[in-house]
Amino acid sequence: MILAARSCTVLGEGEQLRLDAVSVEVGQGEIHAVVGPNGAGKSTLMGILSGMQKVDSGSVEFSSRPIRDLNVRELARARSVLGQDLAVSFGFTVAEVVAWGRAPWRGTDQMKEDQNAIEWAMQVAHVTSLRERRINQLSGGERKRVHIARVIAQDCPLNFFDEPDSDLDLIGTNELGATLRSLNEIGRTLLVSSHNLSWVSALATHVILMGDHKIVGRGPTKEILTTQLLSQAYGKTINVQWSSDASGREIAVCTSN
Amino acid sequence: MTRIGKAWILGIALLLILIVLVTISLRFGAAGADSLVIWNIRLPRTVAAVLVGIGLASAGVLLQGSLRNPLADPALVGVSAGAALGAVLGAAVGLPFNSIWVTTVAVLTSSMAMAVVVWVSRSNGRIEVVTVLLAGIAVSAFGAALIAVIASMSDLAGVRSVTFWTTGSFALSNWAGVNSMWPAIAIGVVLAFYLAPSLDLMALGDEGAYASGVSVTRVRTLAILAAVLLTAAGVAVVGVIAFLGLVVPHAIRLVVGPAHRQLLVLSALGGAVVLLLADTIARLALSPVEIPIGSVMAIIGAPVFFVLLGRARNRQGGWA
Repeated sequence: MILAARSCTVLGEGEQLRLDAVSVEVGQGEIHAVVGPNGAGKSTLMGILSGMQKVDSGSVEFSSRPIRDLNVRELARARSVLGQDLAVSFGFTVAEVVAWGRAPWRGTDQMKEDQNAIEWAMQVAHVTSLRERRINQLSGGERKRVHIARVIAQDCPLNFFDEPDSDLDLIGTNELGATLRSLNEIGRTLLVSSHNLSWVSALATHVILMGDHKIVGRGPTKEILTTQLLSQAYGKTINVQWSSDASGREIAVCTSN
Repeated sequence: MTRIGKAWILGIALLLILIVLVTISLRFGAAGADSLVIWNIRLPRTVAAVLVGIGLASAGVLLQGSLRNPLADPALVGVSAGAALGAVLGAAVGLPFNSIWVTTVAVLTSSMAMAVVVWVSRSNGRIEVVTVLLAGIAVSAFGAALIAVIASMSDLAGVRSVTFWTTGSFALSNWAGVNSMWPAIAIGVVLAFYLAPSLDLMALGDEGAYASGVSVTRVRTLAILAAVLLTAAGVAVVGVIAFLGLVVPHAIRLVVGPAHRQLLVLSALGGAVVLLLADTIARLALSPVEIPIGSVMAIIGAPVFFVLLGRARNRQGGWA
């Protein structure tokens, strides 16, 4: 188990819990999608699993080590995080921003991998040609790809992507899927939160379905993306139909009326 | 040309200009150029201008990087006023001006001023661009008022009038003054270089920097502390000089980009060049009358601030 959370609770304002005794298990090499309606606790769950946010009770472990025992640098070598706030102050170039991904490895043996890791990350995220551009002059989609390259270059076994497909168009979303699959092929474990159920149905091996600050269901994608569980999580009837996309991948078409 | 190539060329050019300016500054003045005048008056004044220039420009870089605020300047965020108040307080309790003791008090009050500004400006884990400046105005007004009160209650401040503190002057910079400021400025510069790589990552915002392995609170606290040392040491001797910490780093960024290692070296050099040039102009333009150095800097700096203000506002979609 590369990542495990045991009955984690996060308190909110007043009586309301932001996460209510949530447990998660993620195996090496899996792709887990975190889905659910707005306000269900997806971001909070991603926050505690990635060590960005503290739990009020319960525990989170990376490869059987409690993450509260890891300092900020060790944490940054164990997991990378693509957040939702991707603004960069000042006119740094794409090459500079991607190179920041290597910061946690400064002063270690891994520094000799810096150049390779950066080149590979830029290639997989399709930003090699933007190398000398300033990041604050790029379009939203390009900027997102640069940050994806940055977190890939960080070279962590565990990678968190918080709504990476928000503000990408159809083509961009497909390319992002391909990028994430290439990462998975070299053995990285991914956690991806998203509102796009069809997209994650073709990408994820497992789904964590959130509703009302609890987990409604978690397990292999096909067992969780069902009419019954989705309707329960969203509080509204959601019909699920599985079919195949152009490349033969199984994809769920989810509709609500 | 690459940014590194440009950085080398700019660095060498600034160094040459600095040497020329130092020569001019030592050679010309209201009095004749005998060795006593040069050694006891012009040389310490020149060294002070170089040190204060290094200090204020580096402090600007540190504040802008650690607060993610392109508009931060030691005088605009209240660091300088806090330091001036400390210097006056120190003198009022009997500590001699241009001594390391006054510098120490200035560092303490300046830290307190900065703590108030940062504390007021925090909102949801971010430090707001505009609130920092508004808090800086309030802290500066408070500091100036207390200085005026202390100055009117005693004549301990002597030749240093209220105007001296608000517009700045190198006229009272002697060797004692130089000796009182260089240790703090040296510590500040070393600390700044140690922090430079982390300051780059701070551009990602608190969450992004933390996710990339930066101890955000620690880096920000140390950066502000370094900015306080770099600013307060100079202010205790020469008073408040605004806009240098804003204009110089901005100009350097336009040429070599925002990466903090180059930015710090070149801003320190650039700060020394600009301030020494401004002081030479202040001294010689209407000789034997001196123009206040702070006025010379404000005439250059205020228009640049307006341009930056407009740009920062556009980027954030307006401040209602």
